Amino acid sequence: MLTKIVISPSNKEAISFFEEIAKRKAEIKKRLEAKAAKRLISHKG
Amino acid sequence: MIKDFYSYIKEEESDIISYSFLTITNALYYVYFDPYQYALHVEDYPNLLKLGYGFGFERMSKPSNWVEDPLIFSTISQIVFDFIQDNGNEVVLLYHCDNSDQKQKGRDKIFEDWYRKSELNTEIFKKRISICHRNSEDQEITMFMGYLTSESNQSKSQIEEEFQFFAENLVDKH
Repeated sequence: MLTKIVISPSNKEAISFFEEIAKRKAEIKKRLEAKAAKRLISHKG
Repeated sequence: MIKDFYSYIKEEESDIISYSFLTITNALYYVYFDPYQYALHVEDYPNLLKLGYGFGFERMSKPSNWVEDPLIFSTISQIVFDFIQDNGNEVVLLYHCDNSDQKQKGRDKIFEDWYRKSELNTEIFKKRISICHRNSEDQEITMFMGYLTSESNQSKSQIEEEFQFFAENLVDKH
């Protein structure tokens, strides 16, 4: 059963795959933070 | 079935589905399902990604006091269960522990513990791998990635094969 992989520093394609994931996650987090801020204001109000 | 959980709301936007709930200590959580995270790779991994969603959750506000709250993971479990019920047993939820603050190991451990204790672990299959690499500052980074799918997913074994193939492919790119 495969449990671990090790990516070589020269494996730019694999590294950029994970960078893309991180970028999209950061974008989603930012949008959710904006929604959350509105929700928290209305909750306090 | 989940015995108890927080009430939650579901919001659908053009490119993301999110659920949110507020805990008794006023911590606001969002659970999200992103149909576009892996969409570019569907052709290569049809069973894994045909109904594949990027899955994650975030706490958006600090609790008023730090107490252990089992209802948080019960609620996330309920939301996962709800999402699979709405979208079918073929749904695959792919996750990648956030490593932007170097706390991915803790997140992986919490998520693993949650799964083991969860009322859903008999109904939901979880697979995860660790991925090690050195960043540009020559620091060793370990990331964690995996998926959840229903035990009733008829393509479960093909999905497992494709996930392994995906990992092998990443390594084989040099």
